[in-house]
Order: sequence, then structure tokens, then C-alpha cells
Amino acid sequence: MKIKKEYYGVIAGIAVLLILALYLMPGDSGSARVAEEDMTKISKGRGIQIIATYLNPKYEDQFPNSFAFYIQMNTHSGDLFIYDLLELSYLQDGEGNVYKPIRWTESDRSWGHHRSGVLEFQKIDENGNLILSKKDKTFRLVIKGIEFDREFVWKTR
Amino acid sequence: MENEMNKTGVGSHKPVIAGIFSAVVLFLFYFGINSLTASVEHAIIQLTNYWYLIIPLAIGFGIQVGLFMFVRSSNICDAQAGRMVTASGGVSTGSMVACCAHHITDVLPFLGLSAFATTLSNYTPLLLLVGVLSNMVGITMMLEISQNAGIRTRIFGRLDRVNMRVIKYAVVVIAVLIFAIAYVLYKPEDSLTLFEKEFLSR
Repeated sequence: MKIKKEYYGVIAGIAVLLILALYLMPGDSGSARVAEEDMTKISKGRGIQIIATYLNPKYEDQFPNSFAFYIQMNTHSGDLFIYDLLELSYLQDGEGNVYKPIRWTESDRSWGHHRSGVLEFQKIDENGNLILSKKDKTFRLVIKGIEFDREFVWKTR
Repeated sequence: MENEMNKTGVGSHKPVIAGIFSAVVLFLFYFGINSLTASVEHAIIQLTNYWYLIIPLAIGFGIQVGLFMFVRSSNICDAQAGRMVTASGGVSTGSMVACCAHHITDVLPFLGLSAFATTLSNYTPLLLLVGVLSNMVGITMMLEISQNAGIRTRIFGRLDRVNMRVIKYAVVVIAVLIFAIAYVLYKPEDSLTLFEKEFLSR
């Protein structure tokens, strides 16, 4: 009986923790989460997962002259540094025009199994036109040859 | 007579050695499971990211084991103390393993487990915090057991001035508050959080 008493505090603490956790658990319907899901696309492969996040809707001030994508690559085996994203990637607008990236900035935290960085494309083409205009209902980022060709498609507003 | 001697402060270095040994074993277990399921490089990165939780977790567990050995060496075989160390050791180890659980699913491909394990790994700091807080509570419970058993040493003698039962409940409340605040403020490491951490906080 005495032993049980000793546990009352811990049991009460755990109960409060659980109630708080359930009460505060972020739901999937929050506006920020929905917005982020719109920006982030995931491609699961056999052994390599690639996540592409379109950054401009939230970080336009950071990338005033480029369309930027935060790319994450994850695997459990093998070396992800064999892939040259500048070589393998392109952006395709709604009319099928293709644009090559201008810059890849590798994260300091990248290593063989978890690699990340920012892939950027010029906003204006050689004729001075915006490469992704409002008339494009969708645009796609393609990364070729990482197990297979990965396509990430975003709908424009 | 032997009990009396122990109660009046005659001890050995065994509890200290057991405590240090346990802390080191828990730390090596964490490092080993991360290295085996991913790589040594990954284990080092995890340690670099969460050293401020992993080290207190290992030290806290070591203190608990040391206190348990001290209580046991006093010939007051307390089953509750044993259960406390077992429970806290489980929480400490579990919270350390949770951060690499998504790698374990490579060798244990149970349906649905992968998503759960990935979710767990997104909450690594919170899980490690639960381990640290459970250690705090466990240490105060062990000290209360020592006090109730009337074990006196140079260290525990000073604890007679305070009511460890009250301290224990205070620590439970503080632990709950710390966890609640951490949970509210914590942002899981989704893509945007990682981007901000890697590129905007330089």
C-alpha cells in the first residue's frame, strides 16, 4: 500500500503529460501546415527519398531574382554525393519550356546519407520575360536518374 | 550492527563506480545503436545536435543507479528502488533509441511501423527531454527512499533538513511544466524548419 502511494505523484505527472500532449497535438488542418504541404512535395524511391520544397511563396525576399527549391535527399545506404543536381535537374513551365538551374548551394549539414541544399533557377529568361507566369497553371521540377526520373508538380494560384 | 554501520555513514566506492559505469554503458548503447542502424558519422551528428540532452540523460541515469546501489548496500533491499531504476533506465534508453528508430525499420519491416518511427524521430529532442525529466523525478524518489530508510552519510545527512517527499512532488510538477512548455514551443523538424536552420540562421 505504501509503495502505491509513492507512485501517485509520478502517475499524476504522466497523466497530466498525456492530457497535455493530446490537447496540444498539432492537427493536420492548421493553416500553416496546409500551406507548407502545398510547398513541399515528396518522392519516395526504392532506397532514396527526395523532398522538394518550393521556397518563393514564403521566402520571396531571400530569392528576389530566382525560383528556389530546398532539396532534401535521404537514404540508408550508398553515397548521395554521386548525384550532381545542377546536371540532373530542370524546371518545366506549363507550356513545356525547360530551364536549367543556375545555382546549387549545399548545406553544411549534408553527408553521405542525408543531403540537402537550395537549387535555384533564373526568374527572367534571355528575353526579359518571367519564366513562370500566371498563365501557367502548373509547373514541374524534374530530377533525372536518381533511381528514376523524379517529378515534383506545383499548382499556381 | 552492520546495518547500523551503514546507516551511520560507512560506505564504499561501489555505488560511484556503478553509477559511472551505467552512465557510460547507456551512452555507448546510444552511440552503438545509432552507428549500427545508420553509421558512425550519423551517430556523431546526432550527438553534436543533441549533446545537451544526451549527456544529462546519461549522467542522470548514472546518478540513479549509484543511489540504488547505495540503498542496496545498506542492506535495506528496497523493491521499489529497483523498480524505479528499471523504469527510468527503460525511459532513458527508449528516448535515446527513438531518434534512430526509423533506421531500425530497415531490418524490421513491419507494416505501418515505418511512418510511426519517422514521426518519433521528428520529435527526438522532446523524447530525450522526457528521459532527462524522468531521471530528475527518479533521483528525487531514490533520495526519498534513502531518507525514509534512515541512511546517513556525509551527503545524505544534509538531506535530513529537507523533506524529500515534498521535493519529489515539486520536481514532478516542475518536470510536467517544463515538458508542457517545451511541447508548445517545439517545432518538429519539417522541411521549412530545416531550411531556416541550415540557411537563414547562419
